[in-house]
Parts: sequence; C-alpha cells; structure tokens
Amino acid sequence: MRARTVTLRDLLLGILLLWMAVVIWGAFLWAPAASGFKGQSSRIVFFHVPTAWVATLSFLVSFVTSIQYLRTRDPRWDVRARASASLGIVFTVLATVTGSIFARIMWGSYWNWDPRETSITFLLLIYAAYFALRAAVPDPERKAALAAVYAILAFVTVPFLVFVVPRIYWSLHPDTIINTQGTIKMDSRMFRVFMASLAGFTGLGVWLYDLECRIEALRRRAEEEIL
Amino acid sequence: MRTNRPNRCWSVVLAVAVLALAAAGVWAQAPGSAPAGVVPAVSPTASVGEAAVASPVPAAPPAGVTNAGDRSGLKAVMGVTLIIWFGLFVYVYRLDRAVRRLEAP
Repeated sequence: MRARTVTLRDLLLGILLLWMAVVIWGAFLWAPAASGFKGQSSRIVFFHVPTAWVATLSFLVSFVTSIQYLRTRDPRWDVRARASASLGIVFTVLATVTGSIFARIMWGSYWNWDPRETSITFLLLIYAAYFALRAAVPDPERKAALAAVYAILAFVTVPFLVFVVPRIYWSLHPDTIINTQGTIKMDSRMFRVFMASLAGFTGLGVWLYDLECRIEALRRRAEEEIL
Repeated sequence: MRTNRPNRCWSVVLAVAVLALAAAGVWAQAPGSAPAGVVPAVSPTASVGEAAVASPVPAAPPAGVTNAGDRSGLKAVMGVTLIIWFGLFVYVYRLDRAVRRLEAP
C-alpha cells in the first residue's frame, strides 16, 4: 500500500480550504449588508469582485507569458499562456453570472445592456476567439506564435473594457470599491471579509492555473511518447 | 497529433462554473435575498433619464452605514455554499493528487 506523505502543497491547500470556509461564513453571517441595496444583495460583492479580479489577473498572466513565448520560443510559456487565458474565461463567466443575479435583484432584469455588461461580453468574445484561433491552426509552433501575438493584442483591450469604458458612460453599476474620489467607503467588517475573499480567490486561481499547466504538460508528454 | 481524450481540467473548470451558478441561483431564491420595498427597482425598460430619477445609482456603502434587512435564510444559503465549496475542493484535490502520481518518475 502506498504511504501518503503530507507535503507543503497539501498544507497550503488545507489553509486555502479553511480560509475560504471562513470567508463564506464571514460573507453571510459576520459582515453586515450594505445600505442602499435591496435586502442582502450587497453580499454578492464578496464573490463577484474577486472573480472579476482573478479574471483580469489571468489575462495579465496570459499577456506576460505570451511575450515570454515570443522572446524564447519555449513551449512551456505557450502552455502557461493557454492555461491562464482559459482560467480568465472561466472567471469572467463567473463574474458575469454573479453580476447578472445582482442585476436581477436590484434592477429587475438579468441583462440590461449596461456598459459593464456590454464590455464584459466583448471581453468574452475576444478571448473565445483566442481559443478558436488555437483550434484552427494544426502546426504547434505556428499555433503558439499566432496565439501569443493574439493574446498580446487581446490584452490591450482589457484595461479599456474593464476600467475605462464602464467609467465613461452612465451606468447602473454601483460605485467601484475604490471610488472616483480614490477612497474606499466600506464598513470595516465588510472590508475585512472582502480582502480575505480577494486573497482566497487569488489562491484558488493560482492553484487551478498550476493544475491546468501540469495537466497540459502531461498531455504533451504523452503525445510525444505516442509519436 | 491530437487526442480525443477529454481534458480533465476543463471538466473541473466546468464543474466550478456549474456549481457557482447553482449556488448563486440558491442565493437569489433565498427568502432574505430580495425583500421588496427597500430600494425602488429600476425598470429594465426605463430610459437612462427615468432610471436616474427613479433610483439613483447605488453608491458603495458608506463607512458604518449598514442595512440590517431580512437575514432569514442566510444560514441555509451559507450551509449550501459551504457544502459546494468542500465538495469542489475535494474533487480538485483528488485531481491534483492524481496528476502528482502521473508526474512521478
């Protein structure tokens, strides 16, 4: 029988498990609901904003790793770029879904074509095209090079679609965490849970990213062995 | 060469998305999630001007000003969310262990 050893990774994952459990408890039972929102709907901030944060971070990683691929032509950078872009799409979908539920409660409809909703749709389409491009090119080196160039161009749109466009037009969306005066107006308990959630989701994102990279590396290794 | 084996990581991220959707759906249906009358709802068909008059954009909550609201059902929603989180964690953790076994020389 195989002996099980507890590694540093196991320890960190155990901390993540408990951390997120505490965040969930704090988000629902410890932090108060914010004023100006219907019922308890403001609690979605503890999940919606961190998912959007991890999505933006993933697209940034995809951008940096794509540059690294073009510089070095090392296929490991391509694996990382692909993994982070896929993670970015998943977390963007999660941010969209949680935002739509909030919209249904606050504004009576899941979708209102608000500037934020529209810009996140564009972002999803841009990164969906990244995977369409990868699927369309059979040669691995050519695929990696084209995808890297596309990922760099795609990331140029991220600051505009995530930060600029929603602030230019009138929006139903509540004021951002760091508001236009550059301050944070949030109850101290809410703020603590929010920051803990941000850290927890970032940890979860890093774990999933690492896992995706390792699986992709294994898949490529298996393919090479078959060939 | 392309294989037809499904990428297990995609099944993980799909599971994350589906479970989060389920959690959010439960949350939206919870009794305490949307009591009427706290803030007037903006009609989705209202024009920008009408919407601004009917209900100004909700600002970020000012420090110390909170909404007690109806908290019934929050414990149940938290319980469901915790079950989903633990289930999801165990699934991904087992996948992580399986990948580590495959990586071992």
